[in-house]
Amino acid sequence: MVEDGDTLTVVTVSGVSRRFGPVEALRDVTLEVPSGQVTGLLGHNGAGKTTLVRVLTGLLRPDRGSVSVLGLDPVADGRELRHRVGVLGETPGLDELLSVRENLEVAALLVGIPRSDVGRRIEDVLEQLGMAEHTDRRIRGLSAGLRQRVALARAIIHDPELLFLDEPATNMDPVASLGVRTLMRRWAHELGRTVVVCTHDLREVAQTCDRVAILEHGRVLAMGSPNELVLQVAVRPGVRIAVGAGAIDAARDVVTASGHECTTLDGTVTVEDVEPDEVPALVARLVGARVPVRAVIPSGPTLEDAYVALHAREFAP
Amino acid sequence: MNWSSIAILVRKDVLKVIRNPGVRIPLLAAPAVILIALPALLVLGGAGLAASTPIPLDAQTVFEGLRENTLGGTVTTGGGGGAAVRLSGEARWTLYVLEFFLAPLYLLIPLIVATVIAADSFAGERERRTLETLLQTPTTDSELLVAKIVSAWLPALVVSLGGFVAYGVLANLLAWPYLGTWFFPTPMWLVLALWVSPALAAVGLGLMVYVSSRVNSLQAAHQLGSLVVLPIVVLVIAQVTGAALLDVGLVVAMGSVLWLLAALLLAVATRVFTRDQLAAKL
Repeated sequence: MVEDGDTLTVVTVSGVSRRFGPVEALRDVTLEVPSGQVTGLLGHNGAGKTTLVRVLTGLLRPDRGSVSVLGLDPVADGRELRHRVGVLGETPGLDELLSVRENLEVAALLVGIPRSDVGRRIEDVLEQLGMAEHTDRRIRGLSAGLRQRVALARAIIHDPELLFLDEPATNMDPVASLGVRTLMRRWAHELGRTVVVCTHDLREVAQTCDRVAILEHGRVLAMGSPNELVLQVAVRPGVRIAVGAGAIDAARDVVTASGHECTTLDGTVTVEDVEPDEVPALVARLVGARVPVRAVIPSGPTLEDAYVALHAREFAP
Repeated sequence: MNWSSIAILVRKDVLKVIRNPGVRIPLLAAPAVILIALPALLVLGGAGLAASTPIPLDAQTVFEGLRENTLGGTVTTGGGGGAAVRLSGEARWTLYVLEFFLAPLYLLIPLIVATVIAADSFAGERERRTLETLLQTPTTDSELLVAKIVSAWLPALVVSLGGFVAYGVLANLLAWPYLGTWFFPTPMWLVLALWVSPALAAVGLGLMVYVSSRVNSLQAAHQLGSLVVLPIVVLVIAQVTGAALLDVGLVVAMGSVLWLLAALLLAVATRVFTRDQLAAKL
């Protein structure tokens, strides 16, 4: 682990590449993951997120480059590392013929939880995830969402220092999905653990992650906080002004006369390319023209805009 | 080597075998057919035929050899005497079936059990999408390999030894009317059950764990695994034709070769087996 001021870096990836036959799954990937934060690996399917997690947990050897996780080499120190991290893979990976308790028991014993503590630990973690009533059910009878929660329980049963979650909210209903996002934030911000989450869900990233690495075709396109990534995008902020359906034409005329482009929809004028300090004057003109202004909502570039723009910039013909 | 981790993984895999009717039923059906149904059918159905049919010359030799080697030249009748008796046609047929004909078929049992379970080891885990979970456990590559081998070897051993005991009871019951005494287990069968059978299971699963880690589907693993029974077919033909009848010396030698082969296969499997190679196929 590397200490940089107040922040501890728990994962350091430097120039890592990995190939599967003709496919280069990771290309010269360099990134760092600070401790006590939620870091998102954002990208399409096949971007290299899952391969990167497998390299970080010592399942795959990098062809080139170096990796340090919790100060350990994942390949040479694989056993020790896997004791200290929790992993939720891209599928739940549960044994269907075993019960929830039996699946968790195997995981708990393998990570070294004393047999006398295993039962209590299983109850605690299932309680935390709202799964207590399912403890003795076989996995075969559980829904996809419940299986995902059991897999999450397995990943956190030993209270790992670092948690890798690959699409954790897959198959979950909105409430359970919110619960997972809350758990990730609590895990990092209250308990001081580190979470690395693979996702292609921009909303999940925006609501959960402190830092994001955008991966595409095995490369890191950008890395930073969601706000830093948004600021990298050359999309100027805008504003949405709700005026009511009867005044929409008058509002459009005022905005156009002020030298701004706009679009209208359902009583709302969306003004693009307007700086925040220009907004009060624009609103004053609308009011002066007797346009009933009901709400003014800033509509700056979002993480989605940043993602699309970065992707387009990288792969422009 | 962390034996506690290995024991946890073995227990889990054995539990899955016990709970999976798709695996459990074939594993019990094979011994039931080979060691119970087949001998009963051959002895009860064939003895009358053997009595009324002239025995071929080479078969005569076989029976005499059996009497000499297995029964020490003496067949006691009832409780007594120790006097040598000439075996009737029915008795010869019964002993031939029980001692020689079924011996190589018995070897199919450890082989079938070991290969069915071992084929399921990595290919099955991959198909059920549980392989990544297994690879993410804090175990070394060697521990994973040993756990998978033991998980297949133990059931093979239990089923084949259980089958041997059941077969022993049945064989004695079937032969009692002709011999008037318990004759089983014979020395050759003891060596077969305690020396050759575990070795053969080890060879089969050494091969299958390796194959299972290389192929992508359970079906492919089973198809390749089915080839390991071919040497047994040769042995069966040798018994039927009398070309190379099994005796104690031959089965001891056979077991020794199999143990060497098993050690060689496991050494190769240990060297080529890596997490990376398995994870690359996820």
